Amino acid sequence: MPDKAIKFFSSVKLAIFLLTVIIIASIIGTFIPQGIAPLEYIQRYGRQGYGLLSFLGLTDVYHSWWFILFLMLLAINLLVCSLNRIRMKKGRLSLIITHLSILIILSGGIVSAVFGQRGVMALYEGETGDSFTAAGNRQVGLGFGVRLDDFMLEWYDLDKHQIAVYVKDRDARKTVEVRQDGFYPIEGTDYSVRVLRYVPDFYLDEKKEAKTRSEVPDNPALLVRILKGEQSEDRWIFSKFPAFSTARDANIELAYKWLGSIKDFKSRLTVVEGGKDVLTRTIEVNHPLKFKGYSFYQSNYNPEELRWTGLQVVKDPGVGLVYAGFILLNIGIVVIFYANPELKQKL
Amino acid sequence: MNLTLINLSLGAYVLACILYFVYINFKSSLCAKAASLVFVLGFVFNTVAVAQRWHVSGHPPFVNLYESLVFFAWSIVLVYLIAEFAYKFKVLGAAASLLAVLCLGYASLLDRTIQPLLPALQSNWIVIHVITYFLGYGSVTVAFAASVIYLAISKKKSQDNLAGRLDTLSYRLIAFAFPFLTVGLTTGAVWANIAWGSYWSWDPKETWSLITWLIYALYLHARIVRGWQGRKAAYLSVIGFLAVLFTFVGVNFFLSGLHSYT
Repeated sequence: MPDKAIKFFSSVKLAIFLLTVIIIASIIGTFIPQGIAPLEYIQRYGRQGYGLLSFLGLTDVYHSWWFILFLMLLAINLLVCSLNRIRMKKGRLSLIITHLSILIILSGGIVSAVFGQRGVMALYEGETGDSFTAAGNRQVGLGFGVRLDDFMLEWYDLDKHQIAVYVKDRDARKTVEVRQDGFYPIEGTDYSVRVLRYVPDFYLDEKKEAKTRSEVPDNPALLVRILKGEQSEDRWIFSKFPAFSTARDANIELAYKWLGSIKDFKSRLTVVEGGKDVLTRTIEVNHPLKFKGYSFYQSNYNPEELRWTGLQVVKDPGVGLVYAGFILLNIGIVVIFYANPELKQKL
Repeated sequence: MNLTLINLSLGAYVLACILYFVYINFKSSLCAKAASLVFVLGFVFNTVAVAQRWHVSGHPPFVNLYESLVFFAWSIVLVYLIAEFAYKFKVLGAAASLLAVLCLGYASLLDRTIQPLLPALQSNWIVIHVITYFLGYGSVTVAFAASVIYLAISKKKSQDNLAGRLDTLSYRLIAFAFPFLTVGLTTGAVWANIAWGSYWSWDPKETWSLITWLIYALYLHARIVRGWQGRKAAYLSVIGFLAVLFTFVGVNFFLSGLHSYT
């Protein structure tokens, strides 16, 4: 490389310029929605606005040719700087490691983008899938099968409910958190409420008796006794059907909200290869299943259909490079700044 | 978090702030000593409050805005106290304690109920990811305070010595923060890969944390290699802090994405 080019690409001025451009472009990309449907862009920015945005690559900033060009220029800048330092035998090893580590991370990113596969896979309990759906609705074969044995949804606290009370003649609104068998006087009114029964999945059987289909809170309902002096009324209230009311005393309205929250969703998966079960694992968020370079992540579920699971399937050969780069980057930067005698000098 | 502990901590920070201001205006060394003592005491209460919340809730106490602000105050005060003891420099005390008061004061207006941990947050990575980030953020926040005071006084000839020390301190705090920001950023990417199968997806929170990291990388290159000092460096430090603020709270208010907690 001619000296002039080396000088240009090894200058910190160039690095500062490139960093500034990349920072500004990244900021723009967070304020313009990225990769949404053309119609949504047209709704937001008009037809001409959308045309301009897509011409400038602003609908997908981080994958636009110019953003990648600036990253590449930064990479060349880093490389020439590092090589220059090695050639001139000046500068500390930690500086060189730090700057090369960023090149390693960027090359890992390229490997991921070029050779990585990712997509989604949906399974019902008992179903075996041997392919996943990648971008553009393309089916990619796995070369083995994955069967969903069981999908499990766990809640933190099933018996946790909120009742919003409105008493008309006092124009009083109160919200109380209640539990089964609890007794709750409603402040500022003559009413009090006793929670008689909680039913997670309410239905009426043929004898018109309230029953639950399962322990899954698909249709949470509460039976409450409303007390006022000598009067008493038992009333069903429903979390999913607030408008449905069996009220006799129209002076008091109750709105029920089931407060349980999801603790975890898990899928028990079995890898099937050559007609045989090879491996069984229960996966959840933060605990994927790995087999033959593919990773299966718990990514989705359907609260209305609890025999179904949504998996993210990924094969990413760039991860190793990226992680190696991360380790070197952290070591390099810690050494640069904490082995620095300057920090220990007096102010 | 135990209300009494937080209130004791907030009270101590308010008192420390007043004492630091008195010290700056009247150069009373007794006040300076008392200010440091009260600030340390407030920090102890803050520490116990965080530890207690961790114990009671059974998960790391930084999963909503209330908990994050209490921990942010803790980080600011920790970094400031380290700097104060290391450099025997107390002029920033008033600003640091004021920032801590603002954090705890704002936190006290928020919902403090302990919330159950979302599936995505049930990971040990949360501990290193969040603690390193908060120490980094705490440090650049104190650096920001130093830069703002620098900008306010740097034009006065009589304050040359003090301004120079503030400028240097701001730089050192950013240098101290940068490794923490790096560990925070990279552990975040590793965690995202383990949870969702992608170490980088240009989610707004991810992107903004990268923007913040790049701004401080730019600061360090400009300062160390190009010799930027004084006002230019101070402006960059202010911009960096604004980016931190936007990453920390702004993204959740203005943009939507995966990182929808805290």
